Amino acid sequence: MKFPFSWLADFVDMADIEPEQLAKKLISAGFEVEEIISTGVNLSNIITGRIESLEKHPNADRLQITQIFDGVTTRQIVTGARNVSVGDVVPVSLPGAVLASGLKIKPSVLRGVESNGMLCSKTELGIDELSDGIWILHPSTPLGLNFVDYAQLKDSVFDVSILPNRGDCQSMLGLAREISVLLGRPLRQPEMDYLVDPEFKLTSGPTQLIVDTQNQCPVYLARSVGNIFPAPTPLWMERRLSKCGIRSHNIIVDITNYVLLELGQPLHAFDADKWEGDVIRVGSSPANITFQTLDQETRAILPGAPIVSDRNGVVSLAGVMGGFGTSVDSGTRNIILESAYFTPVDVRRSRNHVGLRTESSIRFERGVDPLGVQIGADRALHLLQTLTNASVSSMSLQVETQLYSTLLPAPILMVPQKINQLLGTTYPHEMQINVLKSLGFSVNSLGDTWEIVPPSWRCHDVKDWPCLAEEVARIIGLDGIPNEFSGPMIIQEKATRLSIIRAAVETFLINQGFQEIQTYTMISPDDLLLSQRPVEKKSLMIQNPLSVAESTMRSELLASILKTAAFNIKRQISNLRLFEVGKVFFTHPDGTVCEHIMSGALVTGDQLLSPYTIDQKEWAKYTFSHLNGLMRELLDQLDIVDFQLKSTNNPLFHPTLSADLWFGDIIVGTVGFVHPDGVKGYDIRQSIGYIEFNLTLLASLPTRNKMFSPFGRFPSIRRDLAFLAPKTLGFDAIQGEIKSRLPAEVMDFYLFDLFESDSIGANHKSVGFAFIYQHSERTLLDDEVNEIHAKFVDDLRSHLPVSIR
Amino acid sequence: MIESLLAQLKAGAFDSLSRAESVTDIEGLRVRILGKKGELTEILKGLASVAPNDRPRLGQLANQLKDEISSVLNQKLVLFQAQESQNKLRSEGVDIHLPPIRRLIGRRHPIQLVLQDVVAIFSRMGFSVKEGPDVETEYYNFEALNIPADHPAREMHDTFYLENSLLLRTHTSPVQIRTMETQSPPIKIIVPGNVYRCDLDVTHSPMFHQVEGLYVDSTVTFSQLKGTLVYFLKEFFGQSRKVRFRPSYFPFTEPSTEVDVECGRCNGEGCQSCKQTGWLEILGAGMVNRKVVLSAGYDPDQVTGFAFGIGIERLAMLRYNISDIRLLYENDLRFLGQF
Repeated sequence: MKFPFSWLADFVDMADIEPEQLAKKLISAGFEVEEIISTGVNLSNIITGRIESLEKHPNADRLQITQIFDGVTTRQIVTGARNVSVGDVVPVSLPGAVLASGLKIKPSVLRGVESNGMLCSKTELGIDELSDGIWILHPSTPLGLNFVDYAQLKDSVFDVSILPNRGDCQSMLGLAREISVLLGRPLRQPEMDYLVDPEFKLTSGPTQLIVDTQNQCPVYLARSVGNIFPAPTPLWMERRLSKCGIRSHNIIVDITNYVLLELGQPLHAFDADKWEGDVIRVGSSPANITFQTLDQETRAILPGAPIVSDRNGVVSLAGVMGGFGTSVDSGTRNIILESAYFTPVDVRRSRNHVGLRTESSIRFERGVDPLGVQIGADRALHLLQTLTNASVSSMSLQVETQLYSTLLPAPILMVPQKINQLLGTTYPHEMQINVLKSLGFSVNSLGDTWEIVPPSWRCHDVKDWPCLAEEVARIIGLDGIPNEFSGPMIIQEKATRLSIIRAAVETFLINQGFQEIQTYTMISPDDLLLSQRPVEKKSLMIQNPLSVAESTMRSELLASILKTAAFNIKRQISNLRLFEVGKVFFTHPDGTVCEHIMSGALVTGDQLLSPYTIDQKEWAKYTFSHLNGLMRELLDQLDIVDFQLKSTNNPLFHPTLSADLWFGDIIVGTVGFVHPDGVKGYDIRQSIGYIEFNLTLLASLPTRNKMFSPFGRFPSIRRDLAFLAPKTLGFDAIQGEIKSRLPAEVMDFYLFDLFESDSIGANHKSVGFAFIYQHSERTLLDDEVNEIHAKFVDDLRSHLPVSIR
Repeated sequence: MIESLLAQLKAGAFDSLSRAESVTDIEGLRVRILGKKGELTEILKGLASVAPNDRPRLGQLANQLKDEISSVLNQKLVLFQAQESQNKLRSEGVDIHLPPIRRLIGRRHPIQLVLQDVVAIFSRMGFSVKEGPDVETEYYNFEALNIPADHPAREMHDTFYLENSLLLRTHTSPVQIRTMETQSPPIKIIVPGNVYRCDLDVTHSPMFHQVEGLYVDSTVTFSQLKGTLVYFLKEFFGQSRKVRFRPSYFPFTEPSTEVDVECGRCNGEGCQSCKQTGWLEILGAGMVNRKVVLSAGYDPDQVTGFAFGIGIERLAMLRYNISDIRLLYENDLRFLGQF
């Protein structure tokens, strides 16, 4: 909210205070001054003058020669303005004057005609970015005035972000109250006095007030005012409204807006002559009601929202905006002035429904001062009478419902020692009490405990003793509270298996050259064609997404990583190793929402940066074995054994170049190449390898038992076995057969050769295994091994469809 | 006779030696001249037919010659071995300026770099790491944190809603409640995690990261909150940076504060990146509201606590001079490769 320094100075003497100094104090007390907008810094020597005559310039079509009278003397000024006429009162910069831009005015001769100054526009005076022509003032404006002061051109407007709990500071008086405490200076109250004309009565308008909606409107006050003289809004008022971002309409509306800004009490004026019937009815809106607001828009009202009605229907969406039908215009002479308290929640719902955020609703939503209703009305009546010579009727319609008394703040019991305990301070009790007193709290000592009653304007936020601690702390200053750095020793909890695994996976992948990425967990339903796949895991949809592209909580991490790969490949970075550890989300058929932490590692392109020899190029290509190897290395590091690799049914993967990692009867990971169809969807034309682990599940797996077992000290003997096997015979089957028939003396065996060639037949492959024979207690003899090995080979041959080479 | 033969042998041997060029030549000469069936042996066979008186002299002569030839052979051998070894090494050489064979380099994402730093600093102060679900209920995200329905603060949290009145948590604060519900004081935790708000511009991302902190015990003070945060901020930003505490408002803390750090670009003078204020807004904090303590099932007269929330992206942007938050989530390798 905008606060002109000059307006705040109405309430607190700040003649010797610099705006920056005030800003610092406000910030330290919880009022963030986001910006100080200074206007008219350079201005000087601007006065008001009347145009006595206008003549054409003899030598220039676009110029006119004016004679300007300042009440004492007349000066000749040449102007290029088009919008002036004889009799206009305008701001005039005299020779020696400085304009907002810093331009100095000097006597000059324009095309042979002497000119002693300049007529000014709003732009030249620094208050409008763009203005069309000279600023024409009201004809009644006194002549020869120091216009810089008169129009309050020199000012600093504070843009303050008012915290949601400080609705009481959404007004000049509200913030001035804080300033008076911060500066230790008295607060001046605005003038409220006016005369009631006991004889005066409006001939039209309501005479009765009925409040049907007790809980939405605890207090409602209506005053009738007549014989309003349609005076122009005084320049000082117009200027103040303008500095706060409110446009001037007419004197009546301007006064209600002025009081709203000044005191924070929203007011509404109904044209009494447009009122139908005798009753003001405050109630809740029935369903299906539309209504034309001031701005001539027709709006559907939230059923149950507080409304004000006359005999014909709704005249105001209470607390938000008045109706067009009873609105005040330039012809209005008699009004019903409404000053009321509408409850924050109801105004908020109501204005949300119509999509309006008005100066009035902003204040009601955060809560106005329950005692402000009377004060606001009085201040408006004072201004109406002073500025328009209006007659104030003795009729005052007021309803206070049962809710009203409960709004007023209840006493809070406060123990100053507890405040110090919470803050970690040693503020003397008297100091604490004095801070509260200065803020308008009434205090009453009950010994060690004090009974504190907050002022009415703080009824919305001060409800418990820690609020009082906050008041004390912020006024004395948070920076003064010591920075304590001790306390009882707290032992950190040990890391979970999940966090250990997560860190191990991340470290492994980074060391393997994988770049970590960070993606949104929200994806498009079209990603990976997820929506078209029958999935037992139902995806979670966002009801109010920013865009379709981020409307579904991902159930597959691959979607996010693949998208990142596509993004980079499109930017001609095609050798990628990417990984992310992140969450996936899905709903179980029983309705529970699951979040699992997955790690996904993607490879594509070459595994070497720009290979240039044939060997390097061959070596750089990714194969399934590379991916599988990475996966095994990682599992080894995690001490996870006893897993099984099985062909996958996962439609996201290549049907024959991928596998699932099983542990018991659960899948804990997948490795292989992504299905080419899935890749094409991202406009990627290179194959994509991917290794994924479900870390949530991995964390629950048992790990290898780490107990030392002695290793053989005697020399080993190697025997090789090569055979031809049908291509269809899987390695798993061969290995299984070998394992089940392995002689006890074999300590280890491994594949050392595998090749396929036409020379051995298209349907066969040659397989070579090495067997390492070793005894734990003695050196094995050649003959001994030969005998065992021959027997083992015979055994294998009779159980596998192979021919020994 | 033998003498002349020996002289002949000597002349021939030295001639051959002078023409030898390699280790192989030398080894060949050694066999040819001094071998078991070599030329010298052949000559010495003739000793049998020589007069016995002459034998010792001739034998000595032959031995002298043998030593002489051997010595030269050995000298040459060492020379040629050295030469050949050098030649071999020379021939093995490559152009050392050819491009190296390199693999890709793995790096941390800047968000994670910052997150790890933040977690490490608080870990040193005894905070344990906790995590919680991204998908939350209204209760944990709002109500238990003293943000009832229709509370204006709900508007500050532009919430993404899912089905069945579930939502994506707007802050990591729900984990405060979840932890307090299952543990007894003292609790000293930090909660890193994803949070979500419907907002997207150069400084707002619909998903971002927060680290929540909570310390609850019998007598936790605002003063300790200040001490903890000042320590953290100076560790993170540097010891010389000034720290400022401003009163603020959050429904779940009271008193509440926002904490600023002196702008590092202008040293507090005021510049574009701090909007001329000289300060950068870093985090929000406060003493846990009694209502929150109560909804967690503790007696607010027995325990007090402090809580804080830090936006990780903001820290990353400040540390690495990143002006658009969206860069962090685009994952362009030309961006990620810089950290």
